[in-house]
Order: sequence, then C-alpha cells, then structure tokens
Amino acid sequence: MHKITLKVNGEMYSVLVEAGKTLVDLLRDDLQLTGSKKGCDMGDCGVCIVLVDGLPVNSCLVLAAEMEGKEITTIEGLAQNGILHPLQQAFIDHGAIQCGFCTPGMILTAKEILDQNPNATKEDIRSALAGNLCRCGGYNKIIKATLSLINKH
Amino acid sequence: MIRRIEYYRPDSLSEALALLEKYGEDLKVLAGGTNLLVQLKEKTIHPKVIMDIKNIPGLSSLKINDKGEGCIGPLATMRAIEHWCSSYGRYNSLRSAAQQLGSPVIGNRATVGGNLCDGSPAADTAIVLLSYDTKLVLNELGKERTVALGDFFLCPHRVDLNPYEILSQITIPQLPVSTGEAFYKLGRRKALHIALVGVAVSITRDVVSPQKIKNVRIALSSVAPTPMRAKKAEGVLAGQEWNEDLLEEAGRLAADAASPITDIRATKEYRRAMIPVLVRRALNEAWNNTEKKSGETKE
Repeated sequence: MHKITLKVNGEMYSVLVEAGKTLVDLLRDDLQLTGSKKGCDMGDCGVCIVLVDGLPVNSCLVLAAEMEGKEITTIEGLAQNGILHPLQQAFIDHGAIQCGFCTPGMILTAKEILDQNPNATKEDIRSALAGNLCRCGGYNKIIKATLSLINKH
Repeated sequence: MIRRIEYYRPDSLSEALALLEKYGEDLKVLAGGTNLLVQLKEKTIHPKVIMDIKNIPGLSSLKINDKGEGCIGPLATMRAIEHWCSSYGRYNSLRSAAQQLGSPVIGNRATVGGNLCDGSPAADTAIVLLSYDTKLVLNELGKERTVALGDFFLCPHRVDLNPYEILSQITIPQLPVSTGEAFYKLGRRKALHIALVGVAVSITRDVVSPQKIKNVRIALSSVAPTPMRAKKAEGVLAGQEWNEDLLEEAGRLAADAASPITDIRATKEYRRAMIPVLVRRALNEAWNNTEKKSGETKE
C-alpha cells in the first residue's frame, strides 16, 4: 500500500492506495467523484479524462500512486460557489449534452484548449478533442459550444 | 485494479539502476503509462514490480547541445516534443509524428522512450528517428553503451535492451544543412489509430551541385517485423540527380524490401501497394523542403 497526498478540486487528500489502483478508480470509488466515467478503460474514449496539473489525461491509464503531490481537477471542480463554469453553461445552451457520458471528459479537454489557446479555431478544437469520443454523435454541438467561448474567453 | 504488483518510484538514476539490477526481468519501467497500463490490464505482461521513472531528474530534457545535436530525454512527452520542435523550427517530421501518435490527450503522457522501447513495428517516432540516424544511450549499473537506433529493433516488441538496462538519452546528430524531411502515417482516421503504413524520409541536397541528392534515408513502419530502413531504395537515389523516374524505382525497391503481413487493420497486398505511393510523396515533399532550408544558417 502507498500513502499519497494529492489535491483534488482544491482540497487536500491523504489516501492509502494499492500499487495497482488506477486514478479513475481512486476518484470514483474512494473519493466518490463519479463525474469521471469509465468507458473503454484503455485510453481510447476519453470519458475518464481529468486535468492533472492542468493537463487533460486519461485517468484510466494512470496509477493513483503516480499522483503524489499532483493537483487534479475533475468535472466536479469546475463550478464555483454553485455557479457553472462558462463551458458548462455553453454546453447546456448549445444542446451539447445528450446522454452526458462523454460530457465531463469533453468539457475538461475543451477547457484546457481554451486556456492554452484563446484564439483556437474550429479546426484546433476539433483536433484537440480527437481523444474524446461521443457515442451519441454530438460532436458538432460540442465544438460549437466550445467555439462560442472563443471571443468571450 | 491491477493485481499483485509492487510500485517503486526512485529519485535518481542510480537508485533506478539498483532496482533494475535487483529485479531484472520481473520489473517493468513505467514512463507515460499509455502503453504499459493497457498491457497490465490485458494481462499480456506479468511483472512483479513497476518502476516509475518520472521522478528521476534530467530524463525529460529537450535541447540542442553545442555540437548541434538534438538531445532528447526518454521521458519527453509527445506534447513537449511537438512544442519544442515548433518553437525551434526544426525536426518537422518528429513534430508531425508526435502530433499524430494516439490522441492529444494520450500525447500529454506518452513518452518517446516508451514508444521506442516498446519496440512496435508501427512506432511513429521510431521511423522519424531512424531517418535522422539517431543514437541511444543505455545504462545499467556500472555500465553505459551507445547503440545506433537502426540496431535497436530486433523483432516485434523486442529491442536491444537487457533486463537491467534503461534508456537514458536519445541523440540526433546534427542534420546537414539543406536537409529536408517528410513523414506520412497512413490510416483510416486522423487520430487514435495505428499506422497501416508509415514513412519517414530525410533527404540532403548536395550543396555544391544543388540538383544532386547527397544522401537520403527512407524509414518505414508497419511493413516489417521492426521499423526498418529501405536501404536499397536509398542506394538508388544517393549521389544521383533528382528525377521522377528515380522515385518510381525507389518506391518499388522500398516495397520489395518490406515484408508486410495481413492483420486486422489491413492486408499485406494493400500495404505493399501503398509503400511506393507514400515513399514517392515523402521524397517529393522532403526534396521541396530542402529548397526552403537552403540558405538557412541558424541552427
């Protein structure tokens, strides 16, 4: 067992983890942060994506033990004081959420694109979301929602 | 949950080498984890120990040394490599391969060391680095050796790395002035795919006779048991005046040198048919890029 200390959504946690526990399981099972989903469990679908030190990462491909000292943001950490993050609001406004399964991963990846490149084009967004699959086929509205924040960001 | 493994995270290379010495074949090195964790979950490997090397200083560096060599640490991620190549304005093929590996999210973790040491015949960065005549530094306790990347790949998923060794440095020799490059990854989609055929070309224009090809490297992926160089194809071009007929012959020789297989992604016939097409395109593009490069004095 390994004792790790990490920050999740601004809060410090000290947890005991087995060597083989993945980050997605730590978040969902131990911390009850079930916003991050488990889809393919092998880094292809993106529903498990969280931000680790600001970078989107497939949490199914990360061992919890690797996260010592890291800062993690899950979808639960975006809203502040009950107010949705502009991206979350944009997704709602543009009808970019259907079943919702891909949504947390999509929003977190899109957030990083916007943070990194406030002048991102539609193509930039489309490319950057290549690791996020949407089984409902909702891509266009997801990209539109993200694009809508370009001038406002 | 991955069962029955231990996790170590050494803080120094010497600590890592001691662990490798102790555990040898029972140990797997964890870098980005984008390949290793899949293997662990699918139970295609059964190590007792996972050694996370991300705490070891100096392994993710990206720099040009004073000899003009590109020095890349094994932990350099695809994203870091993309940014470095873009901001330096060099190694365009490496930038392209890093950008096309997996997905952008995968690229935030996937490392070049992992891509090489996994030894897949389809490895994207492998063929670009082969086209650059890259060398590797391998360390074990008390020993260090340098290996040409061309000698590193032995057969599918087997590389010249003994169980006690770790890859510590990737060195790209200074590329001659008037060198152009190109990289193509053929696949059914733009991301999240393994190359059906990959081609990396590096071609150097003769500075004295600018219509002559001084040197060329043609590296192919997914068409042989390992990433390979098409040396006969290279031989037919080196020292010759640039002409379209030569490209036909080079393409044909490259296809002859390959030994593609039929697998779930493509048939061997299709792969063999695509090799000359991609080799021709890559040679043309790389040659055009030498024109853009000539006159460039900044390294």
